[in-house]
Amino acid sequence: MNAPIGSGPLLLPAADTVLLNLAHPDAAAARSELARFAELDTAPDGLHTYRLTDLGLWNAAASGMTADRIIDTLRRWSAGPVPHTVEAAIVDTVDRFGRVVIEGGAGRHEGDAADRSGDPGNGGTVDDRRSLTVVFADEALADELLADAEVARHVGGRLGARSVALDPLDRGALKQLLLERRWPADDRAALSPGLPHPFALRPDLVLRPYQEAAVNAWLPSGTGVIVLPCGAGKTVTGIAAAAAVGARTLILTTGPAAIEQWRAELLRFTDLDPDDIGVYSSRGRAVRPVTLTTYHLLATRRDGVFRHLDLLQGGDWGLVIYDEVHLLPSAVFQLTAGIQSRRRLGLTATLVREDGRQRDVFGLVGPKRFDVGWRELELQGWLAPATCTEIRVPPTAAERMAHAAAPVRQRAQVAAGVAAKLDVVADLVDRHQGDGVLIIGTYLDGLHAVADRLDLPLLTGATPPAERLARFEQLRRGEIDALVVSKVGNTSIDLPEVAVAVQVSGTYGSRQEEAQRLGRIVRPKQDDRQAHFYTLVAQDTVEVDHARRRQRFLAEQGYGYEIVDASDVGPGPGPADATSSRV
Amino acid sequence: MRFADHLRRWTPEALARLLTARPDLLGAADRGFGALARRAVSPVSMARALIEADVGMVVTAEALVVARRGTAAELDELLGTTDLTGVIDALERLAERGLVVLEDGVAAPVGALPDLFARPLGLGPSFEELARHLPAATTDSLAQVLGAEGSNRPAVTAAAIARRLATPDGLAAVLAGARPEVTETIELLIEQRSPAVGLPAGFLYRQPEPSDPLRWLLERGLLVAVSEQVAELPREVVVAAHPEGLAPEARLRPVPLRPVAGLPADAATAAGADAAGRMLTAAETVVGLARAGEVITRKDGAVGIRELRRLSRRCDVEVGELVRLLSVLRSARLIEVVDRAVVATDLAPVWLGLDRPRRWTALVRCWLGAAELASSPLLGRDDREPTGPVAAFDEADLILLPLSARRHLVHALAGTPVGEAADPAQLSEVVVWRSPNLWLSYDVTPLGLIDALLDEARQLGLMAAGSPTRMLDALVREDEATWLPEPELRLPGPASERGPDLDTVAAEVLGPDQDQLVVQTDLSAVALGPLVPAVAEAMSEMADREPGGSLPSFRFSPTSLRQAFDRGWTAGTIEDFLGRHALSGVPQPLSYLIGDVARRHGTVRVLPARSVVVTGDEAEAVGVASSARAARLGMRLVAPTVLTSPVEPNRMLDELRAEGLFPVLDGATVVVRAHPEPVDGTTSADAVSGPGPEPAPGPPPDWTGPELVGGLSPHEIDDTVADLVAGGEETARADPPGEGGDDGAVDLRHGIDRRLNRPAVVTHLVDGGLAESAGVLVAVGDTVSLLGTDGVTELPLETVVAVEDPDR
Repeated sequence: MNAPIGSGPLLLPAADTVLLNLAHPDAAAARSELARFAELDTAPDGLHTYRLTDLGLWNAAASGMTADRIIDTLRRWSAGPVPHTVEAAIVDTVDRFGRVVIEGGAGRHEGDAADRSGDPGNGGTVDDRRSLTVVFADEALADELLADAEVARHVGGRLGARSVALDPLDRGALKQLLLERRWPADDRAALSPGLPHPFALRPDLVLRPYQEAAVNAWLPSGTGVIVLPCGAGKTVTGIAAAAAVGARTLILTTGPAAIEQWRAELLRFTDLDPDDIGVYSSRGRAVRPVTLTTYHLLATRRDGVFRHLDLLQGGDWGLVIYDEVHLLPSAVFQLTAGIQSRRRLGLTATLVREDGRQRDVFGLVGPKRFDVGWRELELQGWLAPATCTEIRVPPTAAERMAHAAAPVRQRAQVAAGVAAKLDVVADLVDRHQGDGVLIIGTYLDGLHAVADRLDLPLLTGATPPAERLARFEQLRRGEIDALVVSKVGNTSIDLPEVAVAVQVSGTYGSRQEEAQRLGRIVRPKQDDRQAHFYTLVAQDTVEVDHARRRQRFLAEQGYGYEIVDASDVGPGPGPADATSSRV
Repeated sequence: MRFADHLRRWTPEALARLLTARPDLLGAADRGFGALARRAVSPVSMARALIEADVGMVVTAEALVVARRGTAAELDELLGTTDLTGVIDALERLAERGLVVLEDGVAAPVGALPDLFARPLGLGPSFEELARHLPAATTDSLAQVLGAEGSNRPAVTAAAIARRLATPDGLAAVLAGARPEVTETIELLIEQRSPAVGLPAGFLYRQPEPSDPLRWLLERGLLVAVSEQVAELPREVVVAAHPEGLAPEARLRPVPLRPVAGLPADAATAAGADAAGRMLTAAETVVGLARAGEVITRKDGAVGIRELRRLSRRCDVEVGELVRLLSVLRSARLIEVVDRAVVATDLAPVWLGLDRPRRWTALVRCWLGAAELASSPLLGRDDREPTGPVAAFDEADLILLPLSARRHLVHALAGTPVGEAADPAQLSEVVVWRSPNLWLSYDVTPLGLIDALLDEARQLGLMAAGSPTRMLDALVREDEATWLPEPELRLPGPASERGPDLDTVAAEVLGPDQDQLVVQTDLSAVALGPLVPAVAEAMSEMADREPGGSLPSFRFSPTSLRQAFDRGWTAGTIEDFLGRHALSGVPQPLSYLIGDVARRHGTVRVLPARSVVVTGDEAEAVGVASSARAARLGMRLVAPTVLTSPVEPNRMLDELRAEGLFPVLDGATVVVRAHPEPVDGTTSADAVSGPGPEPAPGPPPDWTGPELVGGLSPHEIDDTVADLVAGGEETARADPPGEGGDDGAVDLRHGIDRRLNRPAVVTHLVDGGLAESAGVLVAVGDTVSLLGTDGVTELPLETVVAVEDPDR
């Protein structure tokens, strides 16, 4: 759009793209409204890019936004006229949501579908075997979709001009199919209550306002995803949701460390008895009213059969929580399709999946029910401002030669082991005494070298969980200045007072890893300290290329990013202390 | 009255309208009325005038040609349209264009007008014209049969016969008493209006039965034989048979535009501005590439589909849009094809120097008067499915339109009321009525042509979703001052009351160029509006263009910056440029990246060399480099034991040998051949076919045949192999008996046909010794590289396979 600049903070250069000009005085106001229906793609320091996607618009529709309101927002904040093609596309997309409704059991009539004011989640309760009804907005749509052989295969007999029966076992598959056809179903069929198991949050736990809002946004429907940035307290929010439901709860996590963290927080923040919490893992098969397990275990197959299917489908769970739902493996999607009558809660920091299966999350776990941006939480003091600094470390001539001579696949490891990094790490630990420093790396050799040189404890996958928790506690209490951790530290460790992370090596610049590692240090500090995220990069090696990917990712996430030479880093205040934060 | 005298009586305003409507008369008008009249009545000029004539004018002119002269009422009766006003208006428009003379209410065609209608109103020739083919006796006979007044002048007799046939009563009288088959035949012919009737062979000589319908009609002048094979129906017969008129359905008045629901004016203009912006950006990119000579064409001067696809990616437009754009740019004379490349003309820098709105108005004005239509491959032809474009500037796909074609279209389109849109099919009816001869003379349907032109208008931002934009409105207002005199085609109201001119609207809608970008930490750069071409070009040199819709978007990368350095930018000039054009300065990570690339740029250097000489030690290299030949050979010491030279390797070998050195060609390919003379008496094939006893060391080979040189080109190798096959036999035969002999010849052929199936040792003579390339899987006749040569050594003759220099 070649609209005159200055009349609004939004620019619409393409049909699916909205740019938010941060320099505009109305940028903040526009951002909060825009984020309700547009997906934030990149957030560098000048212009934030939002995408108008089907899923984003359907998420907005699921939360009650209308096409008119979306268009009105764009018109109000746009720098120029909103192209009619954009408006037409929004109307078309939003109108598609809810024109197919899945309702629970007999006793309902076609006319009920038109009444969308009712609370979809409270339409009664059903068991998994009770038949459902698919109601189409009009006969023409019913004819169109039922003429589709694949759709027809997943539904039962026609109940009327606009409705067909639906076997509950086909509920998930049909929703996925309808989503593919761009007719997302509004699943208002009643959910199974599961076996009750009431428990309460401890009185000393005061939910933050956004956590409470997230639970309230999710609770009526009993399905869907809550999106909170790393460090915003997803675990606590999930626990609060589970307490609100008060039923048997299955929590799917990413690994043993996450299980430990969930278990600890459940005990810390609820009145659950330790015996009420079971861990279903490779070390034991304890199924209790609140059971923790991993995606990996659930997805394990033998002879093509999911060995732990019963855990998911039996147990009469009243709620299934998907921690880090963006990591949900394909196999678990498959299983999730079969439990559509259960309450489902997805927790994540980002709906963007590297495999592009966001649609499956929408269709099978549910629409996004709540989302709050990094920036808002940072402004409200719930997240610590962070600055990212890349430190270029020069390898010796011998190290350069070793790097050059190494097979391509081993160069990253050679670069990770550049000796001068140890000096820089030592300087940084020295500089940040009392801040709590987490030294994270991928290659164990290098981590051992750091641990040996600085006489610090090293936590790896082989470290027993109890020892890990003990070390984390030591760091938390300030008994040790720093801790060296391998990839096990990427996720699910809660160290709110840790303000500094030093990344000595990474996995080929993985964006996900970067976000996870950063997430370790952005918990708000009691003294409002700024968080520092250092990445040590061996000059003139493959690490520079990897760092460039990370740089782009972090910059797009809105973090300040600076590159300095190792020679500029020394004990005490230095360039890394320059104030910088996400924008 | 002569037409020149007639024109002298015209008012200046009327003459101005004539010259506006028929601009080809302008040159003649300079030379006076005589010249003007001569030009105006010439068939060529009148034909050009008829291209612009509307249906009402064309039909009325045809009626006038049939009637030869007549009043409006008579013509209306002849046509049967019952639209006397329509006929009067049409006659006035014809008269205004000098195609018809109106005097005292009677119209007469001017000059060559009758000749321009071979079949006016679909009718054939008149009886008088047909009678010219008849002998006088036949004409007299016809007059006698029809009771028409005869004369000794055949033309007079023919006129009398024509009058007899031209009235319904006369025709009825002639047909009275005709047999039913005759009546059926003549009714069929009349229905077809002007059929050429094929006569059976020898029909006119073999005296058919008097009852034969054709004979009956020929004997009464209802058919006239114009040759031995063909007869024609006189037009008077058809006229007489249609007392209700010859063209009652003809529309003498303009077809009204019937708009459909469209976009509000603001929305249409916004969408048009968006399209115009994209088109301009793409145009600037194309012109920039053409200036750099980066657009290549096929041998025939067309831009092929591969090049189009590449360009379309560079310009962020679809291929079809690109084809149209190239056509517009050529029409604007900004680019041209020279020596298999699309190059920018001298006008290109001038155009690029204009401000953004003026760059757009310049293109639009050129487009309006352009002759070529580049979109023919996109058109839905009657006989085949629409296809995508396959090339630009392909003469075979080029349609040349009258210069007014686009004007007819945009003027019609401009009549669409605000908030409404034109349906292409209905718009096609409107413009075809306005100039039927313009649209109906192509292989492509008028709707196909109009669809293609509407695509152009859409791309230029003149319309959006069928609705005209403010830019189109302004363009039409500007254009109607010099074109289209018909009041009904004009927009309502005086021009001054209807809005600003085209330049003003363009400036308002397109906005100015930007010279600032938002350069971000993630190494992207986005302009908040279209960029000044010079800034855009510079950015394109140092950053990769990203698809960003209508806003120019770029991304810096090590590769893009390396390319900038290759083009002569330095870290300093890049920083300086960005410092001037980055809204918030240059982000620190970008500065660091620029520095990184600058530091590494040129650390690896490529030297032009045809020969690389590698010596055994530094002293030898210094010796070579300090020789007298070294300077002559352009030798350069690039490393302690490495020298380069621009001379060919073979010459270098000779020169170094002449210097007293013993060089070999590294990496040479040589041809493997069977060893002719194994020491143990086995054939070479035997020797390599299985693990034999460990060969005992033997004396140096007494072998004067094969030697190594190498350095063969592929065709030389092929030739060599062929020669080897032929020549090897002779060599083998020449061997002493008992040491190969005839068997050797057989073995050689056998060896060539059968590949060895295990690694063999390849040896070759090198300046008095044998070299070994071990572990090479070869067959006799193979070419092998000598890169694996381990060194010069003496080897026993038991070595099973040898290589040779076939040139020696």
